[in-house]
Amino acid sequence: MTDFVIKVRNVEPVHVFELKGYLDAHTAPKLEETFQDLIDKGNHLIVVNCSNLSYISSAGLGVFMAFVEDLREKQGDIKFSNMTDKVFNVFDLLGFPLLYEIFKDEKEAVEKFTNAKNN
Amino acid sequence: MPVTNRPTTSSSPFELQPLVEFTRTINSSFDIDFILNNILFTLMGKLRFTRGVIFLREEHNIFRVAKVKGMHEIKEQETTQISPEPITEISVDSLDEQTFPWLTRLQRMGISHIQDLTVQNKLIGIVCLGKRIGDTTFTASEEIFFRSLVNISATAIQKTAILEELKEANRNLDYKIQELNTLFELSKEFSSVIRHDQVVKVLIFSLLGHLGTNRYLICVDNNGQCEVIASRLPVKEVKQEVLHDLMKCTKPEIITEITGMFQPDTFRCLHEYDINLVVPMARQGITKGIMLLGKRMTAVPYTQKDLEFLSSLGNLAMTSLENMQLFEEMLEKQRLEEELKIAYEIQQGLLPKTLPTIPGYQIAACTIASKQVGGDYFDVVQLGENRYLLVIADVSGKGTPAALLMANLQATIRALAPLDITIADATSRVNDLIYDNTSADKFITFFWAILDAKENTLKYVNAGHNPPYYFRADGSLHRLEKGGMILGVLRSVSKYEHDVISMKSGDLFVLFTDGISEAMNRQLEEYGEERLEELIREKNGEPAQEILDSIVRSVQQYADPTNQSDDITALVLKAQ
Repeated sequence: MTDFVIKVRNVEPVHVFELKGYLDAHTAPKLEETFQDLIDKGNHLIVVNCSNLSYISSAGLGVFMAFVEDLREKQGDIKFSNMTDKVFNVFDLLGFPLLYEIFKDEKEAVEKFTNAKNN
Repeated sequence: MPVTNRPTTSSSPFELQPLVEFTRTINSSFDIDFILNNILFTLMGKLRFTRGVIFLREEHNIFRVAKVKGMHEIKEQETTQISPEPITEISVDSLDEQTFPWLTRLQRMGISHIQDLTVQNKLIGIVCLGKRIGDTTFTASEEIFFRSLVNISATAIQKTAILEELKEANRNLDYKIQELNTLFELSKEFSSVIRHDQVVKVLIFSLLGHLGTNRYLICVDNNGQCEVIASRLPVKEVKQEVLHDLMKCTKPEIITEITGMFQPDTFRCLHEYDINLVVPMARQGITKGIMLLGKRMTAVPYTQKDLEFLSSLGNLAMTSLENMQLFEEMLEKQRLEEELKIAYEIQQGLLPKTLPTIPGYQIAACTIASKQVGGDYFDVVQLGENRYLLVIADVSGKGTPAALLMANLQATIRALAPLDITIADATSRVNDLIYDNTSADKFITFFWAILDAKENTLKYVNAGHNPPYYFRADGSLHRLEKGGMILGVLRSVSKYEHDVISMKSGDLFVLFTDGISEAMNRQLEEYGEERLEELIREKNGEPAQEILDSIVRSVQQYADPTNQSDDITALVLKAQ
């Protein structure tokens, strides 16, 4: 029934979320669960790869808002990569580029984390 | 057109080529900054000026400094008042200071030449130049060049302004669509989820995502108490008084000191809670809950547009929450009704369908179950050729638990009755079995008797039941009280007592439950045993069935028909 799939990859020390399909009010709780699970296990560096994300609604963005503060308090963060124009447009419209770092490529996003860690 | 009498000199012929080039360059761009830079650089380069300013009109007489070159006295983006009079002369010196009082300041900065930017007779800005190197006056061709270039520029600037407006309109439209999408998605989601906590979760995600905040509190009115159903605030406890105060709001409010409708303490607390916005959640215009929201993480202030959207969202959420509650209540009611139906069926299944015919006796009995299904039970079982077991009991509790205990009791007595033990011993065994198999709060008032229709004896034990009436044929009344304690409360420590009655023709026994003696009328007065006794005396001569019917009729007439709280059960035995 749901058109939304989350795959989590470990690219030490970062966890990459590959989102696929529709992230909306209906599927948001699924993403919340994945976030909570990861954070409970002490992982705080997250890159969200949006290359296969076809749609995001306000409720979908709300999940990131619900976790970002906790993550930043623990010296972690959420960074985004590989957004389609359509998805970026929603981010942009709601002012999210001011709150989150968005990268063209997943590798850049991961490197931003690893570089910051090494310095 | 102003008239200039200066002659054209051969040293500066009017050049078309640079104008064409300029036109091509600025028309190829929609970047206002690029266009303004080009205007000033081209004019300053061609006409040997070292200073340049372009003002663009914001509204009626407010102009913004859009571009400055070669001077520090004036800063880009600052605004100034300029009367929007048509500028007829290029040279500042030729203009009247009374009509153009704002020129004095520009003159002090060294501005010597100005020209308005006009599109279809509408003033959109002013181009100013100053500190010319060499000859300060324009040649005729220089003047044409200046005028032409500024005119071409006006169109290009206007074009970018329209484009910006379009972009802005498009963005507003996109935003509106995003709002509608959010509302649409929520109403769809609200109608498909059936769990209260899920509605709240979806609502919060949408709010956080749409507004870009992460501070919130949602509370609903629960019989006068403000029940917080979700929150994320920098404080642990939120004062009830503050929530009560906020519940007064009927439309979304951005919290500022001047919002007059709230108590001063409310402001102080909201500041502490990091809350910036209060949104009522109303149903049919009545505030039933509130959403409190913190600042956006981007610090962009909330606008009127946001408030309209939030108002719709709040009302939508309240409707869903209330519908969900009604739905849950309905389910619970249905579940209870279903359970009562089952209990009723069990009870009816346990009661005897027909009563045995007892030679020399009339017997009649019935149970009228109450809506909640009490635990009344009676039974008449033939044990041998002339021996009959009569039982009446009232099981504690109501509904299915009572019905199940009743079934348990029936199984126990039917198993024990045929055994060759005394009725008193059998009672102890029943008690112990019930005690062992139920919790301490379950008990049974119980009366049973063995009628020997040949010997005309009635041997009975009463375990805490309302003592049955025994009207002797001679008119005297006795109550059948011998026995012991209620079943199921304690293990049998002492023996139950029994009694034996020798019956004569005309003797009458009436067994009943407290559903009769304690039936209440509208004034909450009990029917009472006296009334029952009187009625039986009066009907004593009638057949057993007639006596039973009279009792039931009398109780039903007395009691509030809308509120039968307990089962009504009676058993009448008459010796012929």
